[in-house]
Amino acid sequence: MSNGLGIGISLLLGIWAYVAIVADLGPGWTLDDPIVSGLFVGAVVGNIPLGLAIGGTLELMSLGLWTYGGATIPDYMTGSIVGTAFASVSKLPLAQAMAAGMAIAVPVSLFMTQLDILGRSATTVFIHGADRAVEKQDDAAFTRWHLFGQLPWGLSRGVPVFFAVWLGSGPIQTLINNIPAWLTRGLGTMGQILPALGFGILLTFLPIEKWWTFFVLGFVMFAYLNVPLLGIALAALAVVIIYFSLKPAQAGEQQAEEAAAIKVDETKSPVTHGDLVNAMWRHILTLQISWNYERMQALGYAWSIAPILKKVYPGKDEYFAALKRHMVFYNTAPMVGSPTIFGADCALEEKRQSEVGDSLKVALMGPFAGIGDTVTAILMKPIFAVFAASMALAGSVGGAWLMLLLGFTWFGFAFPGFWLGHRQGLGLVRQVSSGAITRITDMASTAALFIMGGFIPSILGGVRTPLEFTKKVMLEGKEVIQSVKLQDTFDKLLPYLLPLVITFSVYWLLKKKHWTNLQVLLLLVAIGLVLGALRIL
Amino acid sequence: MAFFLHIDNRLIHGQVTITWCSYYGAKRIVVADDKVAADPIQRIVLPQAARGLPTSVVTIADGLKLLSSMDPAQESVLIIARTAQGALALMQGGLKPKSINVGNQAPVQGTKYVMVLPWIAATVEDAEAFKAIGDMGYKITPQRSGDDRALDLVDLLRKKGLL
Repeated sequence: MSNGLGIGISLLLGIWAYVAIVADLGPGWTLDDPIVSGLFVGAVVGNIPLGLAIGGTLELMSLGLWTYGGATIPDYMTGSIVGTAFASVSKLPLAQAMAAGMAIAVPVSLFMTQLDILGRSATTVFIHGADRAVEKQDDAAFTRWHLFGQLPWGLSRGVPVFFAVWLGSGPIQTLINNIPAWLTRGLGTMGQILPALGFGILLTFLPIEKWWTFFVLGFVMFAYLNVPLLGIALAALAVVIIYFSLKPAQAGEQQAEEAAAIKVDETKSPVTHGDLVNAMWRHILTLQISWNYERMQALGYAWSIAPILKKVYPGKDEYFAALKRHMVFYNTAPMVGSPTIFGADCALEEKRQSEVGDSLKVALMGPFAGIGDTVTAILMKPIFAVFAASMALAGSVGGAWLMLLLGFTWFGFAFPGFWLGHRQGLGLVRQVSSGAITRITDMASTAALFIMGGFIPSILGGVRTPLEFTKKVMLEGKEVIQSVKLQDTFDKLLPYLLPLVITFSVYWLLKKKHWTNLQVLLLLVAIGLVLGALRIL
Repeated sequence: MAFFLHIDNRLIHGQVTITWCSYYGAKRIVVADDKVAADPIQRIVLPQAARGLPTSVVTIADGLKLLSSMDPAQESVLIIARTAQGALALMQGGLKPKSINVGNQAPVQGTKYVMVLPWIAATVEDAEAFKAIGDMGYKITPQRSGDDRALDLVDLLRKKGLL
């Protein structure tokens, strides 16, 4: 019987998993990022390069993944924690330990989707509790139901991590230490081609059929001109800004006029600056911690706007009636989007224009989910993730700091977003109907396309074939046996041919053949294992 | 080229809708709902969530008129209804979609609802409307995205005792 990790370390990792998921739901801090979690676990078990390597590979796999509209995606945080912890016990050299860690991390990440659904379902209890608290006019209980709404989320990650690490790390060690060399090679190749899944998913969200030219630009800069990734990102920014400033804005003028015609009465507001700040912080720090399937962000929203309602409706009955009005379905992009809607809604509530406010909320959550998801999940996160993963895979801790930084950049959108919304109030409708949202999302997605053109060959550059063929050629009248490297032939045809073929095959399977992400993942795992073991890739 | 009917209380919800449009290859969106069409703010703002796809926000009656002017053999259209009843009205008005899917149905407070799936609430009235659509020979799927299993919603409603 081999020794696993002790109960102390297991507990520490379990607590980390709990805190990390809640910190992501709340203020959007990226403690649950696979690289950041990988670094933490690596530091705890004394093998930082291993944590970074496993986290970096998982990061690239998860590139295009985002919980659009509350969907469940593989839990790569838990995969990173458990994979790193298990592999660290083996004391294998880094490359082999990483392969073994990935062999554990991928199935764990997939299995965790089941617990995610369970956790998300359990949160329903909390919104029903909050409903009852509102009926009974019990403010303290209402607050408790919201804040404790984090329990199913945190526990659904923390408990499995604790038990897996505590009970599993010993027995699994024997297995890991006996992985045959061919399997290690297969697992290594698997790790190299899996990022194609992340890129493929990301491409399905990008308008590549319309704007493939931007992708070509990025590709040429990397593959032929050898421009570093940061240079490509800067060029993308410049080209996209030039392109869109030459392109006339397609404003819905008639709609803007219609929007201008909607007016609200101005009344004096009893709400102080302090109340607004309080509401804003509640929203930014806790909007999603009690997220549930039934009404999604409703409870967080209601709890956040409560300080405003309390001032506007001093009477108890009126206040709780207003609170109840906010306990309805709400879901949008939490950091880039929701604060602006919330700010505008606060302004309308202040003016006792609750009907307009409710309507505004419902109308804007769709457009703002579009803009927020594009800016966060399609532009910013992939850019940070590719840089961070490259650093992490090279063994640099900087990759983890970069991903951690990303979590704090949301504040840069959330605070100004809230005050913008509050200043504009109903005027937000006019802003939105001017076509600004389509323009910003188009800019973000073309920039992302440009950048991906360079990032894909850079990250998947390791996908090469070692195959060689021998052929007889006549040289100066004599027959000579010459060996031809297949990869050289590919390179003459088009640099980075294999990475492009794999990525666009993934894209094609997802988009045109309607394969699920899981089916493509299993295919890539099989291809990696088999072709790697056979030394074809 | 075909019409696709989606039932979703979120109507056009950013990336979710865009993903479905690209899944079907739909180049146009029609939101058909009397309550939404009557709200000026929603009518103005909703098309902005469609990422540049031509979008109409109309009443059910106007939606049927608009759709009858389009040829499903020539044009792929995503038609969005907010409720089961709205979808049924569209179907009874002669809409012939290629497929029908329910993306999200949040519970309405003050009604007697059952959570059929974690993201789909239904009352007995909703269930009857879904069944009436099913009886027209359609399978209604309850998928949030193409990654969800294509179950039969009417079967699920029956299992939950709503039918």
